Amino acid sequence: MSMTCGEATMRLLAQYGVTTVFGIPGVHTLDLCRGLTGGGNSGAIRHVQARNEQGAGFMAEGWARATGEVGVAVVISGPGVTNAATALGQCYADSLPMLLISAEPASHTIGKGWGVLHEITEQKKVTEPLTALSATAYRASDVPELLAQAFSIFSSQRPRPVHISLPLDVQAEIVKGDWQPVRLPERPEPAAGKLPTAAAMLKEATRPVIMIGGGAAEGTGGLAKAVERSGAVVISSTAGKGILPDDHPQHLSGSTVRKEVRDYLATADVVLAVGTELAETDSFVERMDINGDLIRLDLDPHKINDFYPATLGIIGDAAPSMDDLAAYLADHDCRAVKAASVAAVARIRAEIRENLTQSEAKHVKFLDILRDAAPAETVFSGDACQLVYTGAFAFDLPKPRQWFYPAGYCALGNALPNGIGAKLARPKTPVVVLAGDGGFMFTMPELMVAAELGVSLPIILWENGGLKQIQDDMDSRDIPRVGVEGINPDFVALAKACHCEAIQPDSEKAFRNAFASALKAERPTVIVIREDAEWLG
Amino acid sequence: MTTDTTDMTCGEALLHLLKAYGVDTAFGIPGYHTVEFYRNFDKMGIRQVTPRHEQGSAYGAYGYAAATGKPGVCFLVTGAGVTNGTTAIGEAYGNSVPMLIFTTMNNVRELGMGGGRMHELRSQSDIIDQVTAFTHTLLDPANLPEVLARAFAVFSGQRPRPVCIQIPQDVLADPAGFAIEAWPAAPKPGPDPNEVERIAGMLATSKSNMIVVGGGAIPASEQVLKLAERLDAPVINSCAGKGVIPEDHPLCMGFTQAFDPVRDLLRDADCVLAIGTEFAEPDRYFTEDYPINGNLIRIDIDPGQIMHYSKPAAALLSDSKLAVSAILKALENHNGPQHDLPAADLVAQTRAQFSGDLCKESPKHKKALEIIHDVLPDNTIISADASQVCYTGLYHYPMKYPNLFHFPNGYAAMGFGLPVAIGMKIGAGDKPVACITGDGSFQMTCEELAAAVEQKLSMPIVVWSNDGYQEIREYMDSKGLPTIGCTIYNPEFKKIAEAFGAHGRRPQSAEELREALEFALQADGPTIIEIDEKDAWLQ
Ligand SMILES: Cc1ncc(C[n+]2csc(CCOP(=O)(O)OP(=O)(O)O)c2C)c(N)n1
Ligand SMILES: Cc1ncc(C[n+]2csc(CCOP(=O)(O)OP(=O)(O)O)c2C)c(N)n1
Ligand SMILES: [Mg+2]
Repeated sequence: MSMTCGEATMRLLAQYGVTTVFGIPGVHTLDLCRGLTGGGNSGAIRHVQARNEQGAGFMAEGWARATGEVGVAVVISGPGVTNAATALGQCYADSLPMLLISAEPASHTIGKGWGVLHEITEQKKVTEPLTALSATAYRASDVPELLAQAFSIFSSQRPRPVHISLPLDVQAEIVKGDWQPVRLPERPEPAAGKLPTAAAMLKEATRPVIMIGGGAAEGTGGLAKAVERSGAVVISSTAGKGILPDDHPQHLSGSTVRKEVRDYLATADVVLAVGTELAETDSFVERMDINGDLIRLDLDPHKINDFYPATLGIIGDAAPSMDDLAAYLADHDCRAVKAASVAAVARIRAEIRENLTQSEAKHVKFLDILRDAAPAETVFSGDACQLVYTGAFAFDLPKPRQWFYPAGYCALGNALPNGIGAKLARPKTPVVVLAGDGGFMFTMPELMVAAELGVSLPIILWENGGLKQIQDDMDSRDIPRVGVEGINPDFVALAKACHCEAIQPDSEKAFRNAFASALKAERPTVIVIREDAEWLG
Repeated sequence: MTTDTTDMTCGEALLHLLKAYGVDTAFGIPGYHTVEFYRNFDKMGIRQVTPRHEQGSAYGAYGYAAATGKPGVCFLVTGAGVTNGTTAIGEAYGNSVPMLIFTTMNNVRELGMGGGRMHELRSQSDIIDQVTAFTHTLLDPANLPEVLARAFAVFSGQRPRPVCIQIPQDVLADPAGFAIEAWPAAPKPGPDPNEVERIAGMLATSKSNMIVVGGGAIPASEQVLKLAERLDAPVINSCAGKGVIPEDHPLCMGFTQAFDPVRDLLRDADCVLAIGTEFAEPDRYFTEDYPINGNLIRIDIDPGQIMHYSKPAAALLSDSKLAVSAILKALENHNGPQHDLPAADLVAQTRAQFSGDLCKESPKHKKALEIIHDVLPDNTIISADASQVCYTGLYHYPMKYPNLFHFPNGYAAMGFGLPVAIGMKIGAGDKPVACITGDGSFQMTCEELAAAVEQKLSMPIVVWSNDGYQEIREYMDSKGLPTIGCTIYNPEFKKIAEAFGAHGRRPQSAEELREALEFALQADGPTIIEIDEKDAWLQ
């Protein structure tokens, strides 16, 4: 059956397992739209229309965060791509698989500066720094090969976004439509002998610490055993929350931002870091004090000897590695080490709760209520706001992929569209959005998408009078506040104008009621929490 | 008076230097990485405008530049702030708008290390380079005066386009160590006198001349009108060239390169004089290129454009005002026009052959546009979004003056309307500004209503509501596709306005639209005026 390259591209994506794409159609993507579900089309892919391509990118990101599977956005050339660029940056920094399929002006016009519609000097250059691969298909036959590369990256490498551009003429080429997916490679496993050495080092240790990041998300079972059998204290990055249940007695959760935790880390004699960058954005200190031997296990060779060079570097996939490591630790008697770890964790957690600032105390008060009110399987999609910073160390999750936070690229406005993407990926799971008033505004129009889809989505909006983090940054540097105390809309009225439920609860009880109904509602509910509300103390 | 910079950081001294260049407004959302731009900002008398998304920061700067002719200035945080602003900067690049973008970078020692720093990205310059005349990374504060002078040289002496200066966080906090002094403006390039003579000869002996003007002809608008009258030649304008000569002038053909009768004239004219125009695809409204069989004469400040579209018979690489003035002077030694049919008659006859409608619903758009045109003063600056009502306006909203109708012609990004209007109104002060947008485009950037309310900007924001992306629906229909993803669920626009503390109107008749516009022009803040295409009065 012959068809356009655009349609064949969508059909091939479906064969790779893609069921949903996020985007905004345009004159430049018509041939791609031929492969979508809708009207008389027989395509197997659902199209979800965002209100800005940034929202589409962030929804694809949310899909990836919730599932670990690739999230896909389809956009027009030029502004479609630059609008989605921030989401690419976020997925790059946070190691998420995302595929951006875009149009590009006709291939004979590229680089000429003719002023054709949506022209940009070189589109590919914009996304190159934000992707593992950015490529233009110059003829239809390039497409299956480029998609094979993309999906191979997703299956076997540190997951990162890929951008493939299809110029107008290429999209319109007629092809046979018999494209097939390739067999995908698997992630590498550690070289022989490496894990036994790591196990031996952990057995020798008296104060072992295991640090886990998002790269370990698939390794839950093995990790839990390795933790039990090594007796180590566990510290995660925010991306690593829940891989070991956060309330495990040896677990400090995503807490390197706390000095109490970094002080403990400094005393560790062996540190095993699994699938984590040990990035500044988790600790907010220039360099963490790591004095023990450092074992780094990572899929990305660049992460073995970076800012924190490894004593023992292991390149490989976390999941099978954790199983193997646990096996090598099977005969280890760690009772004394474990008892000390459990005691240290209890002590440090208590210290943290004592040392909270005033606004952190309000966050914690609220987060405790929220934890109690939300079902265990709930996914929380957080923005870069102070409430969510506190949640990193003060909110416990039982499983991975339940706590979203834009750790690396730290772009505001991801929470709502991430939450929408997550909800579509996992429709039966409760999803809750946590955003600051400033961050919420960045992608506020996407509220209409949630309303249009009729998803139950509690959106918790923490209102603290503007860009509080930056107010604090200016204050601490003796810079008079400029541009950080802007006015807010009436969020309740705004949500209602967008066909959502909305409430500003005036008591804990009112919040609990509102939250319970929001989880059941057939549309989103904006719940405005004012930091200065009396009921938060 | 010299300012003592001994105790200043690079960031503080930068503000002084910008003031020396006449900068009085900056758009930006402060972030951890940009706080050093704001040290002592409050004492500088520079107006700070905080949008709600960096797209709004860059569009704000765009609108400010469009309204004032001065470069729009914005401050962006590294990484996310830059990628958020890129679309608006791309639009400024496409439409030759001067913008000065300052962004930070991580500390020098952290660049390129891939350590997972906040907002880290591999190469910010690669991204921003694609949408700027140049991008400079400042590694030593002492270089700043020269770099800034070079930026202003682009704005005054070259095809104006955005310039980006990126400053690593540590460099921004370093001691300044440079003098506060604006360098002299770069001179504009003038035309080659021999080529001017040759062109005057060609125009004077031609039996039929046609003039095509683009945004590059705006500085020469008075001279273009004189030239058109001297040659008795019709003037066709691109989108950016609207109002270069008044669109209701008998010699003006308007935005018409999409219509066959005009294309025929251009194809067969003895001479086509193109002034500061790209012959870009959007200016033909996506019709095929038309051939130019006669002599094509180009005046452009950008050498790349002179050699684009069709082989020129003669060309001037020059500022348009200097070039057209020189041609006018040279024509003094030549005879008058050589043709029989007066150009005004030719224009009238030609215009009678097409409706000028570009969209299926243009007749409805026209009903509203006529009222808008009638109520808004002639000097109103219009920010028109990538919506069909504005496409209709390209022909049917005639401009009396140049540089007042701004439309995302090149990069063609939706979401331009509101944030650009905000920047315009900030720059324009008491001069009226209006935004015309579609329901789809409005929803791309409607969060910026908060900034418009905060800045107390009185301006009408007309939202044309047709359940989504009508333009794409039409294209899909015409290509035999089901209309996927084009019909969107709309908010209640009036209530959105009220939730932001703006005014909201939903006129149900021509009279109510008139009243709403009059109200909006003097209201104490922005007014959303929703026009629903389905409303009875438009049928
Ligand atoms: C796209 C983008 N622009 C700017 C910043 C800088 N920034 C970091 S936190 C912050 C304040 C966020 O305000 P809000 O969401 O209200 O949260 P709060 O700090 O008040 O808790 C800003 C502006 C950023 N991270 N991303
Ligand atoms: C950022 C961006 N995304 C997508 C497009 C493709 N596009 C061009 S016009 C249009 C529809 C605009 O909708 P609206 O503003 O409601 O105007 P209408 O066509 O309905 O009159 C779209 C989606 C674009 N130009 N820019
Ligand atoms: Mg519309």
